[in-house]
Amino acid sequence: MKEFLKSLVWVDYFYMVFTDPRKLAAALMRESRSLPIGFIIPACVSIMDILAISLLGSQTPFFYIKITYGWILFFMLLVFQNILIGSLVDAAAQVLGYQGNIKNVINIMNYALFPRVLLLPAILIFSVFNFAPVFFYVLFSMALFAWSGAIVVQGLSEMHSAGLTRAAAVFFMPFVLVGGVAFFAMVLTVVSIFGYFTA
Amino acid sequence: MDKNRKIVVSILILLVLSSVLAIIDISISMQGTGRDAYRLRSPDTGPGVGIVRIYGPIAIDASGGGPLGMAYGSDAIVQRLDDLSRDARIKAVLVRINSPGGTVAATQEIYDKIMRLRKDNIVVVASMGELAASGGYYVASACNYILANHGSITGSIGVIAVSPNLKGLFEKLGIRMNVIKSGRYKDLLSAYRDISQEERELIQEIIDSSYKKFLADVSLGRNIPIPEIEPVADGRVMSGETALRHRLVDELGSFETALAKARALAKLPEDAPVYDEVTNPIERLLMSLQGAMGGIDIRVDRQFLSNLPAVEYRYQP
Repeated sequence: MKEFLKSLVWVDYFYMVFTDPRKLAAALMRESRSLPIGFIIPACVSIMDILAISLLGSQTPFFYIKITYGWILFFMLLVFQNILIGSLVDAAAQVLGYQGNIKNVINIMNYALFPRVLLLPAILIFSVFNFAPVFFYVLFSMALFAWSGAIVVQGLSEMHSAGLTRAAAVFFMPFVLVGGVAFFAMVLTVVSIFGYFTA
Repeated sequence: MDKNRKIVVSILILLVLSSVLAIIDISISMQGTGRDAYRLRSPDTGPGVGIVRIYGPIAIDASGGGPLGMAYGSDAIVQRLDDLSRDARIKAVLVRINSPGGTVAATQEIYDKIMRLRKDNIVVVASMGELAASGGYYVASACNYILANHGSITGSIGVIAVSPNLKGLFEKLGIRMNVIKSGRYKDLLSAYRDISQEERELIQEIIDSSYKKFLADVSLGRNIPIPEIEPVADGRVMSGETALRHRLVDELGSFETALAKARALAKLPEDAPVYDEVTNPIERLLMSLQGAMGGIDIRVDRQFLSNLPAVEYRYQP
């Protein structure tokens, strides 16, 4: 691991996030030591996100608690989210006939978060000039989310040697299914509660 | 290190730098000593008080707007009042006045606009700064409630028209003006000759008419009969305290007191949001650029620059 860090190969991964997500996915699959490095990205994103959100509103001394301990909680949530979504995406890939490899999926999802660190410098500029920082926070967040999604889709396409459409289907299937189930569950819950009170 | 790695390292350095700057910015704003004082922290959406500032001589902008399309002069004030009247959040308007007055038409336009706001059930409160005399007071009189500082200079109810007589100077320098005119009064108030009795009467008629309108409007706005105002409507200036004695103002108090009064009259909570004029630094920058591109400071008295005689509601010591 020490040699891996010294070789600066991991720096190339960050470069490939921006320039060539397919090449990144191939490199990540080849190098198992890229996985622990990948978890540094959600940690950085957590800190950057907390700082960016804090720039939007007036802060109390609670800010120091957030930046000291809050980011750990946020980091854990991000990792949990990646593991959950990664598991679902991997399950969806297996349903569509591809070979499952959850470790690679989670690794790609971690690296795909990297563009989100750019949110802080962007928001800092708009915050300093007080030029609609909230609006631009929402706008950039959506844009960076789409960018991360695009990296994952290209990574899945490379990983499963599938076309972009199939890879997009693998990525979005869990969202559609979970969304549909959640909506159906909500409707049933409301109907049940309503029925309980009217019966 | 190859080029690609240098790019990534640069991005990482930028991120670290951004984080440090963000932490410094947040820490400064937490101490309340930085930009926090005037910064829009989160969008205010609730019912609140709009602020309108009338600073300097009142005049209609002669150019009809600056090079960047932003209006100034009385047009900008009327526009601001209009914007506030259309804003559903605005339940009260606080008019901050620091003005010696200005041209009759410009002052009347602002007065009329404020009266329209009152008709729309928007509470309008005036807060006088150092000076709210003549046209400045005219505008204030349209408001539901007037607050003046103890030392505010106000009053000066009257009309004035000033024209220099340079006849003696012209004769001394041997300058003669060739005037070809269509009517005998076409060069009324010319600076190079004496004013005739007939011309004086003509101007006096305008002055008297404007004065009557001034009295009638103050009477209407303040709900005080004209005979009660007339004794002090002889052009005299007075302090806020004296004005209170003559019922020309309702209360002595600062801007903060006026803001609290506006909230109270509009039945708003004590912490109701305040919607001030331009707070955005970029907009401020554009406005200063407009002043620079127009070659003038927007606060400079334009009548003075053009040197044209004008009938004014103005305190002119």
